[in-house]
Amino acid sequence: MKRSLLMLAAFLAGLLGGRWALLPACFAHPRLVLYALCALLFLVGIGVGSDPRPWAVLRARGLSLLLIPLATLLGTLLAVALTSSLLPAVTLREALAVGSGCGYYTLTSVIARELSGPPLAVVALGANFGREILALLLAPLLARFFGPLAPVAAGGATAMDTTLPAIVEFSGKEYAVVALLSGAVLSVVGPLLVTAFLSL
Amino acid sequence: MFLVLLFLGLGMVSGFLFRRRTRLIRLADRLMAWMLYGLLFFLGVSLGVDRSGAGQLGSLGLQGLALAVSGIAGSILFTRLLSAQFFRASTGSAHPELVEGREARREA
Repeated sequence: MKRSLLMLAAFLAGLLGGRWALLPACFAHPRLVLYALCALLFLVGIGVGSDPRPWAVLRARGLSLLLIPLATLLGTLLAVALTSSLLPAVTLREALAVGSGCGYYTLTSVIARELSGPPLAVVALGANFGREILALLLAPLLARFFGPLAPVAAGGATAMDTTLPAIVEFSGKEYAVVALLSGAVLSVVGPLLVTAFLSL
Repeated sequence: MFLVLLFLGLGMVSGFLFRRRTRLIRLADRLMAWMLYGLLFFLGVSLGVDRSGAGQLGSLGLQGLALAVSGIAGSILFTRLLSAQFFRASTGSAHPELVEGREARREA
């Protein structure tokens, strides 16, 4: 809980500082997120490379691990389909498209803008950037209350990059390879499905 | 994306090479926990300075957020059903997870 609040505080400090221009201009450099992520993943790599346990999971479970991204995707699609009936601006088909991004917001919102238009691009950004931020902020709580696979599922496609550090931190290093695999599968399948649903 | 994965790979190789230097590894772990706050901070900044789409959380953005929340809930539900049905059988553990016992929990 404490860690979730600390992460939320860091996020809000950045958000409000950026909004009210309280920070030095260099903080707004768009590549800073990328650099922070690279440094983080280097550190994640050190932890995962030095530990045999994450790889033991892969050896023990093999291809059955692919069921995890499948369950993540099916659960997401079913839930967004149900939710879309409550949302005035989003049709079932659009919700399925936006949901299949599974957190991959850059590509999903670009595809949504190309194939539908700016309104759906905003929805896609809210759904997928929101998923990434929530998966990061809630990772400690999700791991505690729903088990170590929950942050992997919540992270969706981002489990291989942005949310990987949080998964390693709160689910354990054992879940690093699982998260990488699940995120990679969803990063490939997700954008394809976004395109497919919007071309229907 | 490529750059990020390159750094992950470089980290894994270094981690493997220095796997016996436990103090170094522990330092990397500690640093990672702190850097996570830095990442959230810069994600916040990037959203805060963006005056075009996502920064202005209007009705469309909120409906997107509703999809994010439900998507997370649905995916967790399904992976839990999966691990209860599938992964439990082979671990024989009452706690249906990939890794046996509670070692998955972060040691304090």
